[in-house]
Amino acid sequence: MHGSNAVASMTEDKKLDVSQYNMEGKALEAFLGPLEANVMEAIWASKKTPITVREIYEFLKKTRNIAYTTVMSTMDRLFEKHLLDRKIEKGRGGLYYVYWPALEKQSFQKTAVRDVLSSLIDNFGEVVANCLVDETCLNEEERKALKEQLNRNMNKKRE
Amino acid sequence: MNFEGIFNQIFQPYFYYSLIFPVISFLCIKVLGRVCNFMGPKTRSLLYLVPLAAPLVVMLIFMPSTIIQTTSTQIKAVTISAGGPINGFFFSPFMPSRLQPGMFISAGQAPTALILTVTQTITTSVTGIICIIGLAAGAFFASSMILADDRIARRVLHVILLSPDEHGWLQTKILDACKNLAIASPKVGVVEDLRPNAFTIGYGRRATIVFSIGLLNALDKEELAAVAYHELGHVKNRDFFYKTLASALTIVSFFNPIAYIASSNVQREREMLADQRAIELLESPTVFGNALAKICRAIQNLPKESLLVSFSSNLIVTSSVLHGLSILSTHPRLDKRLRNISGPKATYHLNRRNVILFSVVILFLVLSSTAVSYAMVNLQNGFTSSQQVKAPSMNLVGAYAIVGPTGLSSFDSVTIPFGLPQNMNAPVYQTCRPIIVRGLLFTNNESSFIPPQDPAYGSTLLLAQNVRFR
Repeated sequence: MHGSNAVASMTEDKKLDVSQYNMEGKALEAFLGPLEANVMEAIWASKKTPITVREIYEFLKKTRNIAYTTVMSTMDRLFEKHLLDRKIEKGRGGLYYVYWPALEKQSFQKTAVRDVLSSLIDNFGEVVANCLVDETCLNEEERKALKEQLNRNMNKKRE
Repeated sequence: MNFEGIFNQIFQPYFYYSLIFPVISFLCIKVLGRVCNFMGPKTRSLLYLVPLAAPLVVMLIFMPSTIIQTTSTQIKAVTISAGGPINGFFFSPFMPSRLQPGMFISAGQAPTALILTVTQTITTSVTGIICIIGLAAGAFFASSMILADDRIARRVLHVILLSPDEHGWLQTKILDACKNLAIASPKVGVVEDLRPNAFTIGYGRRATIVFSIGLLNALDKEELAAVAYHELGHVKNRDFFYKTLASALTIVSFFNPIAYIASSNVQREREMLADQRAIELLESPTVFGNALAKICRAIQNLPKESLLVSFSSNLIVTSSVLHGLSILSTHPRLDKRLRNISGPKATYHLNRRNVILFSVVILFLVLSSTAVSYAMVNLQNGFTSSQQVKAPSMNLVGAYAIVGPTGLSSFDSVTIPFGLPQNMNAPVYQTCRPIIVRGLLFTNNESSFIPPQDPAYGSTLLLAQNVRFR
């Protein structure tokens, strides 16, 4: 099932932790808090890897009023959720954490969506299949074939 | 470079006095500190500035010079034509060693004249240039620190200023303490460093107290406040200026190892003083002691800080507590600090035994230092007076000694540095110290002799006239 390389490379204890889904949120904010989403976007967008909290803080400060400690705790949380990796680096300012994304944006989205979907399927398997099929524009026969296919796959997965 | 060259380099007055005076005054103060227990950290920190400031005082007397002037002489004995007058003179900064018996004319030779080539060389004074570089760098450092320390340090160390609502309780504590101390409240910042650390940059209204993330994580609120008080103590005690002054003066005498030791001593005493301030602001000294102990423990698990950080950040609260080289560390040892803050407030008193001991030590140091300087001056001038030189075996009617103190530019005394024949008129001996014989003038024909002016310097030559040689 795990097709993505990034996901395959993730060890058991570093499983991506996206435990919430926010229906109101737009794009990444569906999975992450607004600030978390901002930070992740900033890190993915930045050319520099790894990057320090201060650098992200200085980047975000350009567009919004934000406190350093807030950014720090946000990145700490993202690390705990395994969206970010970090290590201690020795440099001019002494010892400090440097962060880099554990996943590329694409693979994160893929993993997160799949996690939500598989949770939905686990709970409401048939309904999900029906909904998915209804959402797509197919004629009656194709829908029927697809539904059977989906149900078969789901049953196989449950076994 | 030959021996003479090295000798000339080292004995540039500014250079060697600015080496010796700091050493002597530092030793004096060190001994004083050991012997007398009536000095507090404040007095000691001021005293330790003396060895650092000594080179500046020396500079007022001897300006460092970029050149060394030396004259050298080549002596050649030549036969003179019959009846002709001979006039001549020679220079030498190292006369005594060259005025060997029989040096002028060997016995049994026909009357000869001396042909002397005097060459004056101007060499670059490496030590002088080193001193000038030090002075310039020190002045540059001091002025840039005073003008823009806060901006430089914030940039170099990547300090992030906190907004008023971040760590609000700590900022409130700092504000309250500032009211107590009657100082302008400093800004508060953080650095990303994971090692527990705090320091102050800038001074007065521009002062910024900086905590490391490591410190904010390692200590509880009360302990953080204690560390903040320590830093406020630095602000109140104006330690920025002590630190800047000590560092700038160390740069001035960067070639002198004692300067580094004296400078770190100044800073250690200021730390002690700031510790005492912190204790005054705290309800119990144990909190600050705990904080220090915690910081030490936390640092033990982390690599040591880079040189650049310890240089560029001012008054770091902990940095060097664990450094092996305690003589150069800017922070006192932990046990000393704990004793300083936990013991009853020390009283510094003066008793008779101490005063006598103090006087003896000072007397000894002053005498020995005078002896050292005297020896060095004489070493430079050579030991002029005792050389016996056999007179030339010709009828010279005038012997002129160009003499002067250490510098070639002034001539103020006269002596004839060689043994005189018995049957001649007693010469005028005027001796005064220090004396260096710079040259001799001689002639065999008084009527044709015109006492020459010093060609190189144009100053009047003092002379002993009518000195007759066999």
